[in-house]
Amino acid sequence: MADKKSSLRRYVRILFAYMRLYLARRMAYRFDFVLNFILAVLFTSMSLLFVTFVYRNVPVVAGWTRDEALLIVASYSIVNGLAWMFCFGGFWNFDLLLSTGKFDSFLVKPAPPILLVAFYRTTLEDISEVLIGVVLIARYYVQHSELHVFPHVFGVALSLLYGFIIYTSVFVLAKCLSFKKIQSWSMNRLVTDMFAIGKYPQSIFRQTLLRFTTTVILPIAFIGTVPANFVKGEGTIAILLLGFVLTCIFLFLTRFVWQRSLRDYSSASS
Amino acid sequence: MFSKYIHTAKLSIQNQIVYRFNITVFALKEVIVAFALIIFWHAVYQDGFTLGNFSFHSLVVYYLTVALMQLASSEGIAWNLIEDIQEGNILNFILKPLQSIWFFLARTIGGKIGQSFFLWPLLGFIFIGFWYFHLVTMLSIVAFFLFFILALLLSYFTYFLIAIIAFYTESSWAFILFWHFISSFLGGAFLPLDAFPLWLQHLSAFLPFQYLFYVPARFLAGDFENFWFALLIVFAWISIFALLSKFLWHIGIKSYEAYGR
Repeated sequence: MADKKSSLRRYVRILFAYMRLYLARRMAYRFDFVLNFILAVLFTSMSLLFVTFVYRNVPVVAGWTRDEALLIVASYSIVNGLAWMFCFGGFWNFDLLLSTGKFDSFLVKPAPPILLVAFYRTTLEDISEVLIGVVLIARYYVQHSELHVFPHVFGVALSLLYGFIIYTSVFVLAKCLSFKKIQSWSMNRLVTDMFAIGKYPQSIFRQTLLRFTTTVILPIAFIGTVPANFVKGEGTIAILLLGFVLTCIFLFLTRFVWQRSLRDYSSASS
Repeated sequence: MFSKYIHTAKLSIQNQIVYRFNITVFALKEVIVAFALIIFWHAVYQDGFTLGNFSFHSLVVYYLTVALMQLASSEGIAWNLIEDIQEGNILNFILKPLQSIWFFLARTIGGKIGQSFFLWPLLGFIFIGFWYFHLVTMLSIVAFFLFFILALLLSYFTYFLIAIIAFYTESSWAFILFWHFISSFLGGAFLPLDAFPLWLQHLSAFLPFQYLFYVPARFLAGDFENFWFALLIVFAWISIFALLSKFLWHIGIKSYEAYGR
């Protein structure tokens, strides 16, 4: 147990070291940093405009009002922003790391390569997406003063954490394909666009099979609808338990596939 | 005179055929996005609400057409050109008897033809479906293909122009993403323009964005309102972007210094 604690501390130190490095590098090109920040805001604004324009025409979508739909976008923004900061930035060009042989340098360092790849480009600009999400949730609580924040904080935080782990696990799982395929960058867009469906209420899926798929097989509900339900105070212990089980399954599956891919990996370029 | 460009296009077709996996995944992605939006609106319509004059079937046609229109996007050429400019690879063909703007256009068209080889079964399936359910007519298909080609040209010249920014700044990538977000949203890729406020709909008619998704989709659905006006505006934007691209390319090349090459 003590060993695990010290490993965890070391990984956190590595993460902070990478963040410091990234920030130092980005500050050398401040204009780039600001542009990235603006783009992240723009990306979230598009989702907010989508909701605003839809609700100009219809009062309710699948049982969700405009303010509630904004909560789903907020949850998605938080999870997506965190995923970009702590995983996607590094893994986005993973195929390039493999094909140029740069990945080999990650293998000889005294830390798990999966973490090193995820952390080596912690795109801090994406915090803007997270902040917008937090502001939207805070706005909801201000508007609905009858809701008490503290009883829900635990459920909201936990469901967002599940969403983050599931989303990044599926992404890394998809990127493992790069070990087999030379050009598999299209998987980036496939996974991110599939999870972007999480911006819509899960109740739009009226068929049981689709609902089951989006909750269990590809749990996109955990990056939007489930955390939003907890913000509204409508989350249940059962869904938290399901989230825990699914998070464990996706984590172990990703770890298993990653280890297997590493075992078969032979560098050809470095 | 054109043989070198035709040869370029042929090479580009071959290049696309090599990366079959990416094309298939991209096609799948577009279908999934369209499917999600259709389900979204299905839920709205089941609850008894509607979007403007759209019937649910016309919304299905709309989103499937938008998915097809993604094939006209030339974003990839901007990423390649930026990389070529920043890494100095552009010198390789500056020295050749090629006009860069037409060289990259030939590459784009070849790439699109190469991509479409794998999408024919899907495209065929969609069009036969539209035809079977009387959702399209022969005239609307002709109008759609005309605007598909115009959208491809518009997209190409826009992204070529954006890529030229790489001569002047390291951050030209941001302009690609900026344009991508704005054109997708204001072009109607996520939401038909009928859902926008009226002032924005009027303004959009004069901007280039809606001619990338919304207008071709409406024409395929048989709504030919303002056809000639749309043709005029899209031609105007293509001409503006083409002329600007040619002009800025020449200025950029003059000031270009490929360090280390």
